Amino acid sequence: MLSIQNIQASIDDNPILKGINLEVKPGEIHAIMGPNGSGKSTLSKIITGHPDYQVTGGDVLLEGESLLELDPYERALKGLFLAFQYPIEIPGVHNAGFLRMAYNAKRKYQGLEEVDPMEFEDIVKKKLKLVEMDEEFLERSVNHGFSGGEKKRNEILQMLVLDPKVAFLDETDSGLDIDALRIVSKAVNAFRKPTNAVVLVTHYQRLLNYIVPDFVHVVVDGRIVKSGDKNLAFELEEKGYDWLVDTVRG
Amino acid sequence: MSAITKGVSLKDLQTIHFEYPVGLSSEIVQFKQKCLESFQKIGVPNPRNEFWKYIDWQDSDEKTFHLPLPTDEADTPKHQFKGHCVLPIKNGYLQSVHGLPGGVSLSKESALPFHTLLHDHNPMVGLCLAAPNDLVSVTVDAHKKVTQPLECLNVSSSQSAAFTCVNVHLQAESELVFVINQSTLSQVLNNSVFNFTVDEKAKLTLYVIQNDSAENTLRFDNIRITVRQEAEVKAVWFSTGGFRTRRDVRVNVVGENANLQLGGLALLNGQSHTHTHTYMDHQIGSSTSTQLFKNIISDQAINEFNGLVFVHQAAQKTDSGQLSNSLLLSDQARALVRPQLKIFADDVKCTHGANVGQLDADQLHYLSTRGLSPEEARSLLLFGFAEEILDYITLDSIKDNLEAQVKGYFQHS
Repeated sequence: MLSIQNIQASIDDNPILKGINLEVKPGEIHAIMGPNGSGKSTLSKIITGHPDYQVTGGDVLLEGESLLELDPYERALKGLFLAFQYPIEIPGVHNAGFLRMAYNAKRKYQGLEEVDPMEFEDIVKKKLKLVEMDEEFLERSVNHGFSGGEKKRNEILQMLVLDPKVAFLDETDSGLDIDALRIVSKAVNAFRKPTNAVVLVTHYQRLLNYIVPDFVHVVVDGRIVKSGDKNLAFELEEKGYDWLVDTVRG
Repeated sequence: MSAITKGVSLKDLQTIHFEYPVGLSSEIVQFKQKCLESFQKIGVPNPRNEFWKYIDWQDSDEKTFHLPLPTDEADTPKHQFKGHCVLPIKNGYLQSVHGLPGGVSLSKESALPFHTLLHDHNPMVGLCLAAPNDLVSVTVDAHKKVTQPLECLNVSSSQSAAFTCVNVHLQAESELVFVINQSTLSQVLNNSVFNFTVDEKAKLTLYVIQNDSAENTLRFDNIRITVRQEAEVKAVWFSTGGFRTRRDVRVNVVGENANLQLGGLALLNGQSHTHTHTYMDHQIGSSTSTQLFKNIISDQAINEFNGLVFVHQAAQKTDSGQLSNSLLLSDQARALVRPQLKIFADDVKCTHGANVGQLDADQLHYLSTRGLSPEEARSLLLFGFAEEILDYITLDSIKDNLEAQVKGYFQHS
C-alpha cells in the first residue's frame, strides 16, 4: 500500500534521512521509534510534502504511484494523512467550515456529490463522539486557543472525517494525559480496518499498550536500524536506545 | 445652473464658482456661500498637509469632471438589497422616496442641521456643502424603533463631480439601521457628507457599502457622528476598488456610557488607493469605543489607516481600542498605518495597534495536507481573515450579498 524506498532527505542541505525502506500493507500498524533527532518526524514531513524538506533520493509510492512529484493536497486526496506533532493554529477559520471543505474536496476528487452543511453535521457528530469532543469545538477557529490535548484530538477528528488510506500520526501521544491518550487510542482503533494502515511515530512504548503495532522499527541517524514485533518496544523501554546507537556508530 | 460648462480637475475646484437654482431659499444659499468661503480658506487638499500627504494625486489631476444636472442619467448601482426603504440620491439631488417608515421624516428645506459642519477641519466638507445640491435631512422621532432599514442609494452620472449631503438625526431612544450604498462604474468624483446625531439612548447601525471603479473613481467620504449619553453606534464599512478613496470619519462622544463599534473591510487591487482616517474624540468619560479595520491588498494597491483616539481630561473611565490589520498579497502592495492615541485623562483603558503581514506559509501547508488546493487554502484563509468584519453585519439582506461577493473576489483574485 505504502512503499518507502531508500528515501533520503535533507533540510538546508543537512542530510537527515539517509536511506529508509519501509513497506506498509493494508490493515497493518507500524510504529516508528527512535531517539531525538533521528529523523522520525522528517519522514512524516517529507511523505506529506512539506516545502522545507528536500528529497535527495529514493521514492515513496502509494498504491504503486509515486507521491514525490505531487503537491501536498494531491497526496491528501489520494489518501495520505498526517496528524501533526504541532498542529497549526488558524485564527478566523471556522473548524466546521474547514472540515466540510476538506471533506467535500475529497468527495469531489472521488467523483461523489458534495454534502451540504446539514448532511455534514450528521457525519461529523458521529466522529466527534469517538474523540469525545464537544460540538462547540466545531464553532471555534481551527486549533486556535485549543489546549495541547484538544489540538491532538482535533487532528484525530480530521483523520476520522477524511478517512485516509494511510495515516501517519506524528507523536500524537506527546503532551497527552492518560485520559486523552486513552481517548485518542480508542479513536485510532475505531479507525482501523482491513483496507487502511496506520504509521505511529512515537518516543514512548506507552502508546503501544493502547494501539498494538504489528511492526516496530527503530530509526537512528536517518536509517531504520532494527525492526521487530511489539516486543521490540518493550525491549527499548527497558534498555533505551543507546545499545542501538552504539551498534550504528560501531 | 452651473458656471462650469467644461470639465474641471480636482485642483480646479480651488477657484470653483457655483450658481444656485432659482427658488433655493436665501437661508440655504447664504449657508452654502459661507461653506464655499470656508473651503477656499483651506483650499483643495494637497500633500503639504500632513493629513493628505500619502495621497498620490498625480494621476488624479488628469481626470476631469463636470457638474451634473439633477436630470442626468446615473450609473446603475452594483448592489440592490431587498426590503430596504430607499432614499435615492442622484448627483447629490434627492429623488422621490416611496414608503418612508412611520416615525421617519425627510426634508431638504433648511441648512440648520448642517451648521455644526461649517468649520469642519476637512475642506472637502465645506466644498460638498457649498455645491448646488440638496441638503437632505432625515429625522427619526424619539422612541421610534424603525425596523425597516433606510438605504441611501448614492449614485452619480458618468464624468460627473457629484456632491451628496445627508444629515440623520436619531432622537432620544430611537433606533435606525442606515445603509449607504454607493458604487460607480465610470469616471466620477463623488464627495459626500453624512452627518449623524445620535441622541440619548438611541441606537444607530450604519453600513457603508462601496464598490467603485478601480481605474476612475475619486471618492471623498466624510462621516461625522455625534453620540450622546448611553447611545449605541455600530458602523461597518465594506469597500472594493476606487481609484482614490479618502474616508474621513470623525466621532464626537459627548455623553457618558455611550458605546461605539467601528469596523471596516477593504479589498483592494489594481491601482486602488484607499485612505481611511478616523478621529475618535472622547470628550466625556465612561464610554467605550472599538475600531477594527481589516484590509486585503494586492497588485499595486495601497491602503492607509490613520486613526487617532483623543481622550480629553474630562473623559475619565474611557475604554477605547483601535486596531488595523492588513494582509499584503503582492510585493508591490502597501499598507501605511498610523494608529495613534492622545490621552489627557489618567483613569482610562486604551489600546492601539496595527499588524501588516502576508498569508502564513505554515497555515497554507497545513490546509493543503487536508486536501485543499493552493487556491482553496488561500481563499479559506482570506475569508477567515475577512469574516471577523462580516460577522459585524447583522442585517441578512446585506450580509448574504457581501459574503458571496467576498468569496467570489477571493476565488478570482
